[in-house]
Amino acid sequence: MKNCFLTCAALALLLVAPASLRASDFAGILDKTAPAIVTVKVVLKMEISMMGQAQNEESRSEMPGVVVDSSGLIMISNAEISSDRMQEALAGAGLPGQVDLKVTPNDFKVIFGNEEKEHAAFLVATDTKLDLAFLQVENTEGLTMTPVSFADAPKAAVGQSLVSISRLKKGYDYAPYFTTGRISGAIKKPRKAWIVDGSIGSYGLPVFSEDGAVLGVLVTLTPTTTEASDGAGIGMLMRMMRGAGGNDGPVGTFILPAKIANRVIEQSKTKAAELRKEHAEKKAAEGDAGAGG
Amino acid sequence: MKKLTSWLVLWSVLIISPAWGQSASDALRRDIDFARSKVYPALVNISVVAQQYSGGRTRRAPGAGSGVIVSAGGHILTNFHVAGHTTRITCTLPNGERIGADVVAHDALTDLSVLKLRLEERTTSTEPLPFATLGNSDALSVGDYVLAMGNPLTLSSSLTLGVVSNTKRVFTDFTGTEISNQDLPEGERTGVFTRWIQHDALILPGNSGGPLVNLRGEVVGINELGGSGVGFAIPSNLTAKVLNQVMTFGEVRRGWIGVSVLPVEKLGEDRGALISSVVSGSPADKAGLMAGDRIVGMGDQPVNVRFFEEVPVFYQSIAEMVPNKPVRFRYVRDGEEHRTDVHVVRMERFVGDQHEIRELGLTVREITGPMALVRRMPTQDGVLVTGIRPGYPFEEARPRVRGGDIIVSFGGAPTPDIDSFFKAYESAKAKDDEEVEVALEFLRRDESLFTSVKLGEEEQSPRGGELPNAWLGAKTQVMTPAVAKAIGLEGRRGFRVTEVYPWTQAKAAGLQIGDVIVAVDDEELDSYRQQDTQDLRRAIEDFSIGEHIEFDIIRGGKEMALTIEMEETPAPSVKAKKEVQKDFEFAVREITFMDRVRYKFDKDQKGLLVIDSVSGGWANIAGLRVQDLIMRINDEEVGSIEDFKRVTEKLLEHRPSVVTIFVQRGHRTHFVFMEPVWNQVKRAN
Repeated sequence: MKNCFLTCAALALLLVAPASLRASDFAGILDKTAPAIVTVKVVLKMEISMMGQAQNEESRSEMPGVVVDSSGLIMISNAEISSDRMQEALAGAGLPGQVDLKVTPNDFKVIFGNEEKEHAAFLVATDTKLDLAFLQVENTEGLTMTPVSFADAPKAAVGQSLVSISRLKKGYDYAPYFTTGRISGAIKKPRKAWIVDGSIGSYGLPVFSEDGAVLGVLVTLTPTTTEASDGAGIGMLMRMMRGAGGNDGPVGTFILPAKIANRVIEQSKTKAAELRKEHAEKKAAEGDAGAGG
Repeated sequence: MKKLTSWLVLWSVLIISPAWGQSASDALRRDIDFARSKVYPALVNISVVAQQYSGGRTRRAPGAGSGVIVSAGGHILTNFHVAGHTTRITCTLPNGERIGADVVAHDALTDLSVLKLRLEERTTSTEPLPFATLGNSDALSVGDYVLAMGNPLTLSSSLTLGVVSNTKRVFTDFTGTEISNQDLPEGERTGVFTRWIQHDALILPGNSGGPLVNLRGEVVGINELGGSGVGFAIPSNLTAKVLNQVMTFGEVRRGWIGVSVLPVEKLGEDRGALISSVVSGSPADKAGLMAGDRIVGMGDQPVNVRFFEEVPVFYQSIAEMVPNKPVRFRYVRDGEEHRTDVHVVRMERFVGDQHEIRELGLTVREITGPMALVRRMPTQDGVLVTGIRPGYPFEEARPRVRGGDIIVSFGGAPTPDIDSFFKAYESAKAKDDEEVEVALEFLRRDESLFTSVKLGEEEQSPRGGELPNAWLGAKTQVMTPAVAKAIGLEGRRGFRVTEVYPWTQAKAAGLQIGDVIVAVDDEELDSYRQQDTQDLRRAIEDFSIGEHIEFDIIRGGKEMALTIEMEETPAPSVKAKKEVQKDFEFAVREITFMDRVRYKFDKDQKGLLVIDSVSGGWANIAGLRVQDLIMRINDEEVGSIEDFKRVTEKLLEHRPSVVTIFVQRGHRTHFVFMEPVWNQVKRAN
């Protein structure tokens, strides 16, 4: 009798408990994925030229990134280190092309977890259309990599719940945290991607299913055309500001399917190896010249 | 009656319109011809390469003006604002001869320059050089006829006629309470000693430096300013003083005591000159003179400055004092007359020369004694920063260095003047262009600051670019219902091929203009509206490079399949190899596949596309434009950046006087002749 009661109670609890993730599941995904989320620091050199006059400004910027390969390849949002998205948005909104904004990123540093050491990295490749950029940590000695793999991702569906992991900045000691959301729709143009609902994620970082499987990466995509209703002016600038997250501005936030992200990750892995080899050969050549000359 | 009136009118017109007037105008015409004949042959067109320092670098621009030959030896008078700050001066004589000229001396204070023609360059004529004579400008009266002559373009000359409106013109500020001297672009004061001849002979822009001539054919002034129907010329008597000094000493020597004066009219006095300011540490200061004193005698001459027109004369008398000989000054202070001896010193140049150190992205100016005194700088030691160039080492120094700062040491070595600064820079540079950080000290007002600058090549990290996408070597149009109907494919959707690029996989697979692509990799293209235009491209971009993809097409009504290998998007122009030529200040890049397609170049066409021609740089002022395709430089073909580097190295070594660049500009070819002044191109080591 007692056993039955207990079993019945247990069953009842199971039935009554909500179907969504429990606290421990969230924490589990956070623990498992946090090591792969890094912080990237970069010096951005901004050159604004307007009617022949140019102005230079340099500033340091910080953003999260994700380790995508054990060799030390890091993926970040391209919009954080270039002005391309902004220029597309300006062009799309029909602003006169008198303002030319060129952003050059220099001097990349990667911080793992909340360590103090800053690891030098170089820019491997960018994909402006997909809004992704890739860095290669130069020296991975002593580091344990726990990359997120975008290969073999399951198919996602509208309505599916999502979890994403990110890190706060240095001021908060790089604390990792998760955010949630749902796939609220799908687009086919400009390309296949998922529309997302909720304050989920940081750009360039992976988005997971409830079971912790990678579904894709959060990016911005430029629409095929910009309607007049978007308009220029304060409204547009406000919509353009990140954090608004809405898709009614010149660029929208979407989840790029993992399969597509994987294609560019593979391309970047090859490119990173190429660049490393080239650079090593160049240094060796210079070294020889120095010794002989 | 009507007829009579009209005849009367006619006759009266004939009588009144001077038979008298006719001979008067004839006489004037004869006088004009005479005056012209005496000066025209000596009129020269002066064309220069002007050099300005701005934004931390030198900027060059062509400039032009007029001048007049005043000696058989080829001395030319013109304005300083025409010939000053230039790197090359070429004069064209009325007979067409083009000869170079050298500067003998500049006198910014009067805005005059004396040049000398390189007579040895005369090849086409052995005639003696014509020259004009200076007349007596003090003999001019208001109402006298004067001619302004100028030579704005190479062979044409202009002559305008006017009358003297004022023989003693000075400029005051709009309140009429202070003489406002002109300031030339580099900061030199001018007009201090000048009482201009104001006239209404029209002055056109090319007339600067040209002569103002009286009807006797004598040069009575050098035209300096003008516009809106009024012209101002520097009187020939002042010019003669400058010219004599230059011919005798090679420079203009003046005495200086360090006072500024105002007319005494407002004091209710009728003699003397009111000292408005005394430069601290100057001879006047040392002699005890103070602002408020009224100078009534200098040497053995009384001083009378009642009106502003008399101020330049006062300054000129001081300028004519011999340095190091004390002069007895009598002055009135608090109603009492006093005497003192002022030890006149030589007037020194106020504004120091500027120099550019291109590798640092820095322009600096020498600090002269007067500059230090007047600007109350703590010391004359140091070099004054006048400009910092973005993107160059000095801009990266933190804390930042700004214009107005004075650099006093570089790499540990003191830099009291330009030469020591250059020396310090040379020794601070590492032997083989390795990167080295150099400390320097600079003054900013009352602060002394330290900063450092990184010299030498920066360690270049490798850097990747945009990832290439898969690409179809063809152009297409979306098949709208209208288009579909027109080609007999009503109801179908997809893309019609409009162009197939040569040398591509698409071409190799046999894709043709007119083919209609309806599916790619077994996925149908649901494209039939204008906004679907990018669908094909986007679908292809998702494939990997090297993949073989099946395209379902319709050709001539028949369905067929083509397998096309996905190739990389041809290198965009941003990826093309480029080279910035810092010495001649322009940049080029190799031509890409798309350039060849767009401009219909041959696959083998060699050339480099100009992507930047720095304004004011050597290539730019020679006429090299962005988008020109450089095919040959001094008869050597350039197709690659290697070629380019090799050819420009040779140029820098051999330094030919003219560099001939053969370009394709649009559908024509063109020659660009670059004539750099070689010792300006690279700071010689």
